[in-house]
Amino acid sequence: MRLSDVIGSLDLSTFPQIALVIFLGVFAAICIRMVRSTTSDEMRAASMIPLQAEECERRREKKS
Amino acid sequence: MFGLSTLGMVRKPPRDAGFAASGGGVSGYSGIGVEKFVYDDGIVRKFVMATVLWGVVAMLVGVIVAIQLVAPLAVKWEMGGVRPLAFLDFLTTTSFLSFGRLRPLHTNAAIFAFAGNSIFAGIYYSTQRLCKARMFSDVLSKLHFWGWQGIIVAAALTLPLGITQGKEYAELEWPIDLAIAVVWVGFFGVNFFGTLMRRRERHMYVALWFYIATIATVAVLHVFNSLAIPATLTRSYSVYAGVQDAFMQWWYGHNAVAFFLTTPFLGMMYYFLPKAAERPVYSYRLSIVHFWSLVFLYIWAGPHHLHYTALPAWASSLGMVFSLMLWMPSWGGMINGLLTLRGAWNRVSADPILKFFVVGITFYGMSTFEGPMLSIKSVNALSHYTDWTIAHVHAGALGWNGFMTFGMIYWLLPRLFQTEIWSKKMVAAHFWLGTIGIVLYIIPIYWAGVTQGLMWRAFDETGRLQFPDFVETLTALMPMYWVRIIGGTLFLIGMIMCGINAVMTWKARPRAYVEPVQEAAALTAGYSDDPVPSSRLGANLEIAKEIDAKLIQGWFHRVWERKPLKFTILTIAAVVVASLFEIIPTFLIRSNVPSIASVQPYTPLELVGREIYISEGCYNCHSQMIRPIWAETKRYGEFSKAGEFVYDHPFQWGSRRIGPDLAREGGRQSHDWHVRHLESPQQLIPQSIMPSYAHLLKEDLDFDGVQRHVDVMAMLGVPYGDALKNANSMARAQANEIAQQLSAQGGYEFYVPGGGRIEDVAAAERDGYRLANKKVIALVAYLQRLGQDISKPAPVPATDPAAPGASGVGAVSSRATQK
Ligand code: HEC
Repeated sequence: MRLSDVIGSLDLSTFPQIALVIFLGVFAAICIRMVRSTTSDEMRAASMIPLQAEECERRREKKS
Repeated sequence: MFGLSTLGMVRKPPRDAGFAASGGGVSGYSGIGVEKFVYDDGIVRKFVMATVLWGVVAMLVGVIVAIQLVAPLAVKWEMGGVRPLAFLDFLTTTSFLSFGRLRPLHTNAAIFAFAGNSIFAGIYYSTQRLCKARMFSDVLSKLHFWGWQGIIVAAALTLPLGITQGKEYAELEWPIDLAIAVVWVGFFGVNFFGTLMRRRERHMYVALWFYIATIATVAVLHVFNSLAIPATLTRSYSVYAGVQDAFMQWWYGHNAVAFFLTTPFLGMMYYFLPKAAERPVYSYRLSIVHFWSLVFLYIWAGPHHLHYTALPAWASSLGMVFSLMLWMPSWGGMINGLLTLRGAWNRVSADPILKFFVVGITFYGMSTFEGPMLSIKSVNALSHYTDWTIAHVHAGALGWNGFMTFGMIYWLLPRLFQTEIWSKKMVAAHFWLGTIGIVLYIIPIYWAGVTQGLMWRAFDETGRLQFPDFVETLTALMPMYWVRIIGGTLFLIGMIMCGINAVMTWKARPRAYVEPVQEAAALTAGYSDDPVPSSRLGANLEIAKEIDAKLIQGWFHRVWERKPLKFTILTIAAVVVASLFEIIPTFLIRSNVPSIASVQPYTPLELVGREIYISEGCYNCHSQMIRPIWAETKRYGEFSKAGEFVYDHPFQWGSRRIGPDLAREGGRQSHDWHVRHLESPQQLIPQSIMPSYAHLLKEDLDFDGVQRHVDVMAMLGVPYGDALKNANSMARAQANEIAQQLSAQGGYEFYVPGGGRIEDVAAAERDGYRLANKKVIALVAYLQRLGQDISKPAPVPATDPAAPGASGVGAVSSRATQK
């Protein structure tokens, strides 16, 4: 008996379906978190991270 | 080169003073927990300059291969007795410049050299800022940079020499593949994750997530698609064969688009666009949804490259459904990008950097609409194998990757070289040249694609193919090909202007770069995640409370956002699990590859002929996969079956038909026709744009090397009975047989360079002009074998399957020569 026979006799088509349901669940949870209003401060803070001035920008601002 | 080493000319900075002073703990520089450090911009400067250099090279080669598709006809133009374009002849007759070898060089250079260096520049710049930390190791940064450039140079040398694995976008041979794995994982990956570990900003900004997904997934893709067994230093065989190889290849190929050309550029969009627009991203929430949906969905989409092929239908349907689902999140990302400019649109008209970003993001939107559309099977039936795919790719590569890169480079240049950009006018000119260039490229090529697709399937009133001659469907495209050359050239000129601007800006750099010392507090070591919130549910099941607290209130995701390791593992899990669910059934359910008893391994000579086919890159113009579509079976014959490819390491189905499909080529033409066709296609088909392969009539076949190839194939499970011991002599015997048939057909017995006929046979023999010893014979043997087996009777089953010759090659050695 070869490995391919073992796998071939499993009902593999259910596996992706299970995986999809898990993915969907996690994804839905992420989406729910995203639309909740309580996180908006956190979101705003996170979105500002790239805009925090670096030292050189700070100096340039001071000069002008 | 412009002296990259001097780019790193900086005063010795306090590297990562905080760590140096405190050994990773809290230092007392200016208040509790605040550490001082300096960003490493030298490495970003290097990657930016490399991006520009390789951009010019990649696009130059692109223009050359575009010219090669018109050159065979253009050289024949006559005006008043002169042929003004005759000088282009070398482009179709020089072996190492031929289309099949240069096209992979163009694609590899555009993807891995141009886009690759651009990604690295963007990641090295933004990661340090987003983490408030210098890169983990300067040594790793340098190893990464020089290692990657070494790989590119190796690619540029090997591909024109015909050293290739013959799998699109994964052509590089195994020693280079190993180097890629080391540089990507060992240098880049370790350096990046080391930086994440030392970051001084708790929350990992969404751009970093995109980078994490990029690094992790590309590593997985590269390793599994490239699994091969070396036969020599310059030749290896894919461990997968036929359908499975095709599946792996496009699992890799499509996800290279996803995780090399999309996710890192999205990360860069989420960093550099807010920087350039000086406002935060429109919706951070949307960016998170964008991220996870791409990670969940992309990995399933690969099989849409294999619609109507011998791939099992369930796999290709799955690919189509997931591709369609990708449309919405992709557009979410595009809208998120464009709306980031809300309130700043007045600046867009004045700032060429923002213009580059806006056009780039718009092309992202166009490509991610077109991609799902092309993955619909009925659309794909028309578009596949035509130039439509080429147009789609260039909208993405030139529009999205190109313009995002240019926007980023122009934003970076003054900051990295600490001086004004050399010419703002040139930036604006580049924008317009690039935009017009893209338009002039893609519109005619869309047109060409649809035209050719429709011509292939056109029937006349009597039910016969309206254009039975393949070349007819090709000559109709020539005007479009000329416009493409103009568009591509404009884009190239823009790229060169970018290079000039970069070099001139670099020249105006200060004598020593100022390296401002940054300050940020270290993350406290004893950090613990936020406490799990208390459930808002009253009398309820414990499990429901837990779900409310951890899941619905989002505690779990907040924790991920702060933990690089957990985050990476989850991303890899999402990618690997999805992949496995597709890969395992494709590989292990036997019914997916029905075996056909009459399909036998290639003879040793045919196998070497196949090597030549791969090495010359014939697959860049020819498919070997007839789809079960009426117009196609009518033109090429019986559609291809999965079982016909079980010995094809690697598969050679191809993805573009610049020439006709060759899956049933065996027996269509005489040996003599093939030899003369390869010598110069135009002497038989005047309108052909196939390059000349006259060198194959001159170069000796390495009969002694045949055995090695057979041995590796046997190692991969190909049942080579007799040939295991005497591949060499079997190959010689078959070559002589073909040579005899060839001269019986009135073909060459000897081939003198220049094509002259032989007067003195003994002298010709002495000079080694006998065709039986030349590469062309092996290639003809292979071509004559293609698609023949399926109509052969099955071999008589032997009583002892292990007996030599029972199912081996000995029994079939002369089948291809029975012309
Ligand atoms: C630039 C693209 C291009 C490349 C590369 C190319 N071909 Fe072709 N090939 C064509 C075109 C176009 C035709 C149709 C016109 C003709 O028959 O010459 C063609 C036709 C053929 C035919 C004739 C098919 C038939 O029965 O009518 C064969 C056989 C063939 N090519 C083999 C090869 C082999 C082998 C290689 C690699 C050594 C190769 N081609 C590389 C473009 C290409």
